[in-house]
Amino acid sequence: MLQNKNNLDCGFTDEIVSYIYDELTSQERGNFESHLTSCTGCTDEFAAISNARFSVFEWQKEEFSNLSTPEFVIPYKSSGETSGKAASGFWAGLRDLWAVSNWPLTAAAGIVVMIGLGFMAMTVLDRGGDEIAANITVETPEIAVTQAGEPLMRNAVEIQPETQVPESRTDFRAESSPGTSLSNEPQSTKTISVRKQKPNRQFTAGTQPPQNESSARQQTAKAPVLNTYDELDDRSLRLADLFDDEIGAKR
Amino acid sequence: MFTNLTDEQLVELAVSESPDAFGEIVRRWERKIFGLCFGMLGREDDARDAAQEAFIAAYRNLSKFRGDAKVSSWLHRIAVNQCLTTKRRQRSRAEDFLDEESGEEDRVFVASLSYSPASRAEKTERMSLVRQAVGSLPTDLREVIVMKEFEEMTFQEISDTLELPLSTVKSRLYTALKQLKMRMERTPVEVV
Repeated sequence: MLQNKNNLDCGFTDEIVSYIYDELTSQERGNFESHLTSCTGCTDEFAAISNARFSVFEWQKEEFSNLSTPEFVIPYKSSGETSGKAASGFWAGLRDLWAVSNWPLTAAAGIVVMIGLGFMAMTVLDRGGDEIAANITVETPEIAVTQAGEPLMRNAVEIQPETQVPESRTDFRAESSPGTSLSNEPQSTKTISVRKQKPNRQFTAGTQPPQNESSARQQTAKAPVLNTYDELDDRSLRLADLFDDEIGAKR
Repeated sequence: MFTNLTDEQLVELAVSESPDAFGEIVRRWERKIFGLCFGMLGREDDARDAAQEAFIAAYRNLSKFRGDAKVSSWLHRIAVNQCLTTKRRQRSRAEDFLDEESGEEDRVFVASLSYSPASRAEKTERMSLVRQAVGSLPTDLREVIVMKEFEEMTFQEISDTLELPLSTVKSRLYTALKQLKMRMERTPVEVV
């Protein structure tokens, strides 16, 4: 007589899986098989569970049982060191290297890096100071024209005292041709260029303008005669100097 | 050399003086751990990588092993955690892939099967269905069924490994198989 058609409260549910996986004693197996013949609920449940189990079993046989077990490589450590065959891949090897507890080496590397950074910082600071100093001297440059005609920037410290200015100016006026040396001239670059572009100066009465370069050089060999030098002649810095010809014509 | 020692003695030896003793533990458990990872993940290469990572993790944490638990339980727990980590990574990667190439994967899948012989395709389809159904089970149910099928462990061994009562193991296995059946019935068979 069949019993328990719609529910599984017959107390054999645990035996279903045990029976499927063959983990019952012979006596338990006999009892369960006797029960199956009389319980359609357990029979249906057994069929369904058995079918599901067979699917998993088939999957295991089909896709896993033929697989060979892979060789697993373990990164053995001995007294704080990793062995050479430790890596299971590039990243694993990298992690192993990182995991090495070699703190003295790490500390030494850190100190070296810090010293290097400090040296770089000092170098940068020194350069910064030089640049600041250069910016300051740019405001009062001293320019000289060498024989090759190249202007040279000099340090402001080398600027000559005021008393030497007339002499230099005299020299400059005398040697106005390009390529001659100009020294100790504490004037701006613009002023010098004007002078060079307009070598013919106006001289006051009593003084003679140089007729040519050779006579001008002869004058440079002498000390300047201050009483013959009129400050009014120094019009090269003035705008009116640019219009000398026009003024002379009016006169 | 180490064959006469128990797992627990091997761990103690590996921690104290001979790291190579862990190799014997690997040799004893590699097939079962590989099978567990295969059942949990469903792919050979994923299983291989997960098992490898599990053994490395176990080796690195040998000193944290508590003597009150069995080595097999400890190894299984590490392997299951590694499998779950791998699953999470796979899901993240799959989401990224689907975001970039929506629908393209399905077309490739159907086309590849359509060129297979009918019987082979049917079997492949059935295996795929089982794999998906097992993979969709909750972790506690999946690990029991995988231990049973892929590691061929007895109920008692599973009970010892998971530190669960024997009756709980049986009921979990029963529930797992029932859910597996329902999931396989619910899943529509894909057209080949």
